[in-house]
Amino acid sequence: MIEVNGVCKRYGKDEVLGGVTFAVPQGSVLGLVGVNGAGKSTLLRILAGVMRADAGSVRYDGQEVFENTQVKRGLFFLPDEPYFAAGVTAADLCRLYAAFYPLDTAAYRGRAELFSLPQKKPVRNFSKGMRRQLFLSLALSCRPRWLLLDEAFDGLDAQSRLELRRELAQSCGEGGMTAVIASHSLRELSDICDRFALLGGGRVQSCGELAQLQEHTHKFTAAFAQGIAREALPFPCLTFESSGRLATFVARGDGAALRAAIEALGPLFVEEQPVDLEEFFIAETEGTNGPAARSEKGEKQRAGDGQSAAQGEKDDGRDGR
Amino acid sequence: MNKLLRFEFRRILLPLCVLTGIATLLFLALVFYTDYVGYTQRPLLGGGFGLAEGPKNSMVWFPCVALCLLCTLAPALQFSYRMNKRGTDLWFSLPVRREKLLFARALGGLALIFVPYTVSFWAGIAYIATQPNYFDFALYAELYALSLPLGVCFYGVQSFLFTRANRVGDGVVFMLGWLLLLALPLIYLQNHVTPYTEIGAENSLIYFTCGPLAITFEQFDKMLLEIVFTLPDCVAIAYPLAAAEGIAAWCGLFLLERRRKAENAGQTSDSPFGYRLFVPAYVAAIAAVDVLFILYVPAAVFGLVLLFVYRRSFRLHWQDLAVLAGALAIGIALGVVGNRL
Repeated sequence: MIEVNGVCKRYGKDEVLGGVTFAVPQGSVLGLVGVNGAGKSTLLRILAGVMRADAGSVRYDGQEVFENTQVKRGLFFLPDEPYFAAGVTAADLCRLYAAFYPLDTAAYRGRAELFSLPQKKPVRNFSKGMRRQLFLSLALSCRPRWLLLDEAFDGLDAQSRLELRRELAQSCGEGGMTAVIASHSLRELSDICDRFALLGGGRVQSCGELAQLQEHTHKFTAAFAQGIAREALPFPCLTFESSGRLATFVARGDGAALRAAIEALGPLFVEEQPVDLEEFFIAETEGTNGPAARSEKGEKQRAGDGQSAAQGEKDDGRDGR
Repeated sequence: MNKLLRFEFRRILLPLCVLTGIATLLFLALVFYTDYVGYTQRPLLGGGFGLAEGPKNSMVWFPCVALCLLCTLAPALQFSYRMNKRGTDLWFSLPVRREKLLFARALGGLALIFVPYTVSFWAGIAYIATQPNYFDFALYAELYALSLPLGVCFYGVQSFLFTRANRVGDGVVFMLGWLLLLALPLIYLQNHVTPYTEIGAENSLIYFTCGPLAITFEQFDKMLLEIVFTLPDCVAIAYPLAAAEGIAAWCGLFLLERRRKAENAGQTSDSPFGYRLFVPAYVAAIAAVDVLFILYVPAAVFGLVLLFVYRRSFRLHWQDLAVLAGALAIGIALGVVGNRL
């Protein structure tokens, strides 16, 4: 189990993390999400024991990670831009990791063959995707107990993503590995992760199980004969988009109660759709200048329904929260 | 630890072979084209003068230069892993304590210095031995033995200075900057104060970071050429100073390792052992040479250049300019005071 408790980090006068707290049960895959500059990479570096937190603690099965070789033997950190010296080959990297981790060379060779990774060619000549394949292959072959990935699938083609996601799921499911993945590819994360933590303003704004998130957050698409404005809905929306008769909105609460409230407005039809992590992330992080805000504002202007743009802006974002 | 050391020695094998090859070939090429027998005019018993054969060109300058260069190159090769974000992400996340990693790198550095040095030294001396010469080869052996601990101390000092920086370039500047920093007060006294003006240049050389090594090689050169027969008196200061500097540097290197912040990698090098010391010290030293306006311009320009390198920008903080102005004022004052002494 990974326990992050009140982790704070400052770079000079800038507070990057201001008391981050969450826990990841063993065997889970946690998706770490947040806007650019939210502190995801900093948090991962603290989780990896690269940096020391100014305050708070990071514990793996109850043990502090910083300068703890026992914990680090079971921990693999793959940053967004992994280090390799000039002229280093895949075989050299394999030797490097074999010196520090119980690297399964047979498993590594299998993955390297699968992705057709040349072993004698300098890694600097690899494409971005090949480098990612190489480092992910090495990471999984080290069979870590805890895996920390920063932008895990950046640059990978669809086939490699599928293969590595499958292997990751297998390692977590059967092998009991715990993974923390920071990524901007939220749709990717929704497919792999069973938990999430949303970083914002140096703190965890929201965290928990994805299933729970989907249980409490609902997305509806409904059609109304005269269209509908956001304020006409009897509950606060996290996001709201309308196009003519059709309106799509995300709201929190009891699904049945929300549906009943919509039904009471006499829609032509109403349909509930699954909420993915990306929509949740946008709903949680989007301010008044977000894409949804712009979209709604534009729609209102185009429709010429008499509402002022200021009114549209006022209503957008996280109303009712 | 054994695994780590094995990995480290495998990692440095290629640079080790390259450095050894370059040093050995260079020294062999030099000794190949050098004569070792000199002729001097000496008075003959029956009157008049005759030519007498004697030792010439001990060639010890080459191992001296090679050792100093290797001691400066090795820290840059071995400790630059912690000077960029990607390097720290890899090495500090591995299951090895930072001190152990540092120890393995330091040992690797010792190999990178002393293998090329030893091989080139003895290859060159072996060639000289096959040529007509008048050298006492026991002195070469003594010199080699003495150069080893002095080299370890110098390497320690250079490693400590290099690792105070957050970027490789700054680390090199730190090593170069300290080369004569400790000698600056004596150089000032030699310039201005009568009793000091008469002492030899080797007395300020003592305080250079590579001074003890340079003095030793210089003295053995004189001994091999039969100009002098003992080490100079200044080694009584130079060797304890070298030992003290070396011990302090090695201790500082390891004791301060845990306090090193990975997030500083690649950032401005704010260490008090670096630019923050160099700018006032060198500007004041240059300005204090004499009471001449023409001196103040290069002093200020030198200080500005250091500040630009320090900040990596032409936009300086007001504190930087205040330090520069203060150092210039102190230097001018020291120059005026010195001229009156």
